[in-house]
Amino acid sequence: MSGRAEDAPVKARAGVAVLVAVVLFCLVTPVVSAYDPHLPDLRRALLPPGPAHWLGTDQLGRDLLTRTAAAGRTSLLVALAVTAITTAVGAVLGTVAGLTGGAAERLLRLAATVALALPGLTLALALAGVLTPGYGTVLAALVPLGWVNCALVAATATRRAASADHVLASRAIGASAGHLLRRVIGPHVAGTVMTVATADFARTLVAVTSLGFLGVGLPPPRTDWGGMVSEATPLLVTAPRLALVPALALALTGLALALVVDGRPGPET
Amino acid sequence: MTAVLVRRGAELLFALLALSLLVFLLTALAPGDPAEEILRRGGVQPTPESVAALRAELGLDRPLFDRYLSWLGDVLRGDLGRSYADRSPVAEEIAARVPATLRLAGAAALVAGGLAVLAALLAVLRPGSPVGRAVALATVAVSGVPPYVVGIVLISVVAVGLRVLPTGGGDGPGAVVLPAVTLGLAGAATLLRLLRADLAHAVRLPFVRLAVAKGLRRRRAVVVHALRVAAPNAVTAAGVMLAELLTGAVVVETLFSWPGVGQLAVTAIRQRDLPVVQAYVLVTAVATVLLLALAELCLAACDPRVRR
Repeated sequence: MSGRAEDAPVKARAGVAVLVAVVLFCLVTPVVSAYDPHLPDLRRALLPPGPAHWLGTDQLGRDLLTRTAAAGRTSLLVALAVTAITTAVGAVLGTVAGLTGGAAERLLRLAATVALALPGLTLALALAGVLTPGYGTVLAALVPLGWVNCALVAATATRRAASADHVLASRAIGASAGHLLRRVIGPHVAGTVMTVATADFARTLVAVTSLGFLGVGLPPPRTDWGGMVSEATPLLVTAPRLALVPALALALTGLALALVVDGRPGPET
Repeated sequence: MTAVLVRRGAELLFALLALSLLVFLLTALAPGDPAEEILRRGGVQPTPESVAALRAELGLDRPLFDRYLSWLGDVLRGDLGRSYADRSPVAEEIAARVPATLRLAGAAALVAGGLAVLAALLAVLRPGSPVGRAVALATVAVSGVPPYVVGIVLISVVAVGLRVLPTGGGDGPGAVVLPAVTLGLAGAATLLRLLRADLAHAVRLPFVRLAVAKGLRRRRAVVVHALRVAAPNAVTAAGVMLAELLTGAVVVETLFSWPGVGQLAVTAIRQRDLPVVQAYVLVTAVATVLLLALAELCLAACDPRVRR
């Protein structure tokens, strides 16, 4: 949509490269690091960056590099779990509605209209704040309104694919509904759904870390990038790196995801 | 137009009802017994008798649906219940905080509107130029980064590094600048995404191209003719953006200690003060739903093609 069309693959490739680097950093660092990301050691509190701690330590003496990676692993995994559920639910609901059409599709669109009118972050914040903190709560806060976008796009794509000439022709020569869904309509819808899923993942990552930032994410000592930023804001004047490192890690990931989303062809709604 | 009003009105009513049910269930779903909570906060060790008596007084022993109806009745009369913390009316607490949130959202909307219109014009006027592409890339970047990350960077550079503006709080004329820019940048990304496609479409319309072909300067054709075509959609976009600013304000208010409703809600969540949380969700969500509906109505009033 932005820039020139030939920029798109370059942007997407740059985005994917950065993403792979971030994921590798988050997965490998906690394993190879000599430090526990959650274990406080007050004798080593607030050490400046040096050979032992490349990025220094936080107010509880935890290695900042290891902790950033561990928090990133949590953020990415939670966002991935939420997106996987919402995408699966949305794709199934959307495909069914798109295939059957009529009342089912109208019902889905009405539900979507209502759901899209509701403020997602506010409801998620309230739910996460009221329930007992944990993985289940974060899922419960983000899944209920997360499937809508994917369902709408899947419904439109299915309906469009089902009425395409080659599908009508296959049906005319006797292809079964199962065969059509698996071999002809399915692959078409899957591509569109993947594009939406990428955008949804980016949005979910922002939502997950925002909940963490507001203090209603995972219970300590587990944390995500948002939680790390929020823990470090009181020390912004004395040790700004404690907030800036996780913030920039999140910004880099968000930027890479945005590049990937922007580089993919947009879905038809 | 009447048909649109009726259909939209029905959808709006449905959304508001669904919302009220969700917000009501929020307290019903919460672990723990409100009566016990209130007694404990009052400094009284709860006994089964005192809990039962308070439950009866609060009406918690009645069936869920009965409670929903009487709660809805109270809300419609402007009674949002009493806070667990100090038993003060929640409606007053919220009302005292609303002006600060509106001031922040208003300032952010000015920032967002100005930036988005400027960036959209640049992107359309000079699509291939370095400036146009930088603007496009910056939009992509901002849309992927949550506002509090932008805020943290702004605070470290402007407030801590350069010491130009305060890091937080609601006092003084300069205090609103950083929160408004932080929130406004997020709004600008939303607005620009919605606006740029419309403007790019409007520029390709035959009458705009004719105007250019007849010798009108391209800039004038875009600003005078194309911008006007895109304007009705911009109204909807502005509604969507304002709704997003109101919802997103909670994060920025928390970061900058801005004394708005969002900060009140986050404090209430930490203290498990459910009535305040419930009221915050209700007020913010109803405002969002109404704003979106109003924006769509404006669009229908401007553009006859929408009134199907």
